[in-house]
Amino acid sequence: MMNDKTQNIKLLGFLKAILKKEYPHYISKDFSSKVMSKLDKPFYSHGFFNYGLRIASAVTFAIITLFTMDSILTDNVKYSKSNIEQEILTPTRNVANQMKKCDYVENEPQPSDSLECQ
Amino acid sequence: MHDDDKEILEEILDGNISKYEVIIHKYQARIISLCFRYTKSYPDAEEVAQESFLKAFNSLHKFRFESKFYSWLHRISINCSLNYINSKEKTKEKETISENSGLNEGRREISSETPYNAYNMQIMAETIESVYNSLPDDLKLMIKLRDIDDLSYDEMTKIAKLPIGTIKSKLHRAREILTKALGKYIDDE
Repeated sequence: MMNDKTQNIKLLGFLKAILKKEYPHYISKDFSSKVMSKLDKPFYSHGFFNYGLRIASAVTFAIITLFTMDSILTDNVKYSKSNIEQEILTPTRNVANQMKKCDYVENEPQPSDSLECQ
Repeated sequence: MHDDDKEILEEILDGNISKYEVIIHKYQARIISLCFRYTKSYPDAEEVAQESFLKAFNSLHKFRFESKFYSWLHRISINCSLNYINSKEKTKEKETISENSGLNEGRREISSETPYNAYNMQIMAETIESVYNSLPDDLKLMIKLRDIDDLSYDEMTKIAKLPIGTIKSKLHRAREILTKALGKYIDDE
């Protein structure tokens, strides 16, 4: 039930709209109640709550990011449980310097210990 | 700049949210009318107007009282209407691409019929026009200066050359006659 003052304001609002010729063809009777039903959470009156909520969401986001990064970076490295024992084969002779360019090799007789040109 | 709504708005900002209904009642007709100019559909105009009131409410703490509240609300409504048009155009593009676009054509028609649960403003306007024209000239002048031209009481005293008390009383009388004529169309919610 609307009180007299609100009813009067509503009438004046309609009156002014009509006098200024700024009125629609019709207005839903429940227009104001539809808007009012959506105003249940005023943002400005819960400033402190909002502030806390923002901090909490930032902290949660940081923790999730840290966990994700940690799992991505550590999962790729898999350590063996036993020691890896493997002989390292070192070249006994430096063969790189003995190679001749193929252009010169073609018409020369090859010494027995030289590498073949491929 | 003096704003008639300042007291109500301060009460709302102090946490008395129910007072926002007064603001909605005061401006709903003009805002829906403004939105209709853009949407060309009454149900859509109401939807956009609803969004405008909600946006204004949620941004109320940013309102600095440097302009009139209605001017600010008016600007918000225009922005909401333009957003509506942009989103509608995007939907229209999608509909053109879609094979079923022909099925949605019927929605664009503007119905002139007043729905059951709505105030018919056209009938109210006809009544008000005839009552306003039958008012004595001095009362008609008060209505014109205050409600149509939006003048302050100081400006009215200069134009009408009457003391402020007389102006207020004449304006009250004129409004009473007009709202009484309007009252029979408005049922108490």
